[in-house]
Amino acid sequence: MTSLVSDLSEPIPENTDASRVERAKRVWRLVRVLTGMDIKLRYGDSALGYIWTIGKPMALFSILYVVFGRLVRFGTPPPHYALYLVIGVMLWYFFADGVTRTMGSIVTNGSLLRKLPFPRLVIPLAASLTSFITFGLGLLAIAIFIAWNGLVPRLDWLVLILEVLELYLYILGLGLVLAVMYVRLRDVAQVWELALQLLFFLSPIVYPFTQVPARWRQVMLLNPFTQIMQDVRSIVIYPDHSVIAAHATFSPLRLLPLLVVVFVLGLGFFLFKREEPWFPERV
Amino acid sequence: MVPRASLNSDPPIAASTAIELRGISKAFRIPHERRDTVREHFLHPAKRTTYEANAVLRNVSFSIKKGERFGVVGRNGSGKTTLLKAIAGIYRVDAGQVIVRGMLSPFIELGVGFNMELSARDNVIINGTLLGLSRRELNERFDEIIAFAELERFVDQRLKNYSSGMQVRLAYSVAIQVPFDILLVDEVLAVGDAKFQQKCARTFDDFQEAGKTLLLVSHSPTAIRDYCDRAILLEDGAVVSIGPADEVVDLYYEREGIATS
Ligand SMILES: Nc1ncnc2c1ncn2[C@@H]1O[C@H](COP(=O)(O)OP(=O)(O)OP(=O)(O)O)[C@@H](O)[C@H]1O
Ligand SMILES: [Mg+2]
Repeated sequence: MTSLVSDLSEPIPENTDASRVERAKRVWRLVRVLTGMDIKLRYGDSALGYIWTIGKPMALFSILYVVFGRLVRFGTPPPHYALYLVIGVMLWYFFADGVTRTMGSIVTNGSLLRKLPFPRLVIPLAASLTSFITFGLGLLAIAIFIAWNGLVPRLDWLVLILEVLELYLYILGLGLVLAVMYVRLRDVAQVWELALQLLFFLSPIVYPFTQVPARWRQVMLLNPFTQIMQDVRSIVIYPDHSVIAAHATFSPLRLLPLLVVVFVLGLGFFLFKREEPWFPERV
Repeated sequence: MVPRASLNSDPPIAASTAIELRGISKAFRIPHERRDTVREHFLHPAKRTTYEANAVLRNVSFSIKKGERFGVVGRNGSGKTTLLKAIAGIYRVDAGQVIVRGMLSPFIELGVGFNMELSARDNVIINGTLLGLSRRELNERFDEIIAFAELERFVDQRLKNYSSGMQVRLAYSVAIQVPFDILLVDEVLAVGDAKFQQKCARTFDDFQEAGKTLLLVSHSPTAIRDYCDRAILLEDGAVVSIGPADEVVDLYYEREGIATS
């Protein structure tokens, strides 16, 4: 029989007499179920839902391609500009959507938090994974562009998995930090929306990074999103690393954005652990 | 801050105890002025938020034996729901200790937090999983959950099309299909129809036979009298009386100046 003692030293007592492994298994099961429901809520059960997952970023891509690829030009667009742009847009969608959903997840699920005891972390994990899966489904669009441009997959593309994983962890970390703030400060969502608009143009999504003065590039690369996006582009399109102007994928300087990810993720978990006992009474 | 009680120096709890509360207190912080925006902090960064503590539970101690049926009565706002949430581990208490021995299934504030956009089927899956059912257990018990709530015809309808009574029935149905030793029930009888109330009452009897512990919050004096062995009266978050259920209910009515029916 379980004995469940809660005093000030124990945040959320767990309602199971489980070992660590059992607990991790339970968390994973909860995350899976919640993610499945999240996806269902988002797209329904229909094929139309799938078209939407690709439709929204592709609409943004089309507009940007017409405006910046045809009408206005920053110098000469890099070769394979359409693929360059589609990679940027898909990654951006993942980033924006992932952080925004994770940020809102605690407040959105307030009624569950107020009524049931369970490991709170499953909520933001499920929200961020929903975005991850959406992004995964959207990869088909990138694949089509790659084939269109006549690029042949190489073995070193496996590094892309690590890049996407790093981006996911960055999204999760930022999302956790913002989720904790959002419980206390109700206009965090608006501030984040503003920040996103700014970040969109502070990242070389539509323009070539070489257009930015070298000094500023160093600052912009502190945003791991920028480094990851440039890495992906260089691995897929520019194996000789031309056009990219970011830290080379395997240089020591590449560790800098990675450290930012580690820091943000650590901060996210720390704040979440510290604040989670108070969520039920504050959301 | 109140000094934290250390677990080791405390008297051990008897093996026959299901729930023991040792002097728990809980206060909610109410800010003197609302400072819940980034803008506010940006414009007045130096200003500190000051809080008033609204004490909702004051030094509550009691213990409930295994298999006992225990009632909680008191006015609106006296802290009954807060007490249940503290026991379930949903709220962290400011001082004191909550000791719960056994698996606990909470049915608090008329439900388990359904998502109105999802069907009853999906909500049962979510809530059953959150309450600890494995996939196999869920499959085994799903039909029973729906059957007890008598909602077979509506399983695939979205919850927003349910009446409030139907939602409560479904929620209670999930809560009792979870493997538990202790059931926390906050006002299930208030919303269900006559037949469902009777059904609930029958489950209370079944639980007693099975040796399970019941903690029942209710505004119905007959419910507390009929289904509970002992009860407490909460007033302003403090235990005013604890004893045999009918005596506590009588005292409650007497203190409210109402003749008992
Ligand atoms: N999250 C919260 N933040 C601030 N105050 C709260 C919060 N939850 C409850 N309270 C306060 O705690 C007090 C007790 O509330 P509680 O819900 O425990 O009452 P109750 O005895 O269950 O009442 P009822 O009979 O109406 O269900 C109330 O004064 C309420 O305003
Ligand atoms: Mg209540």
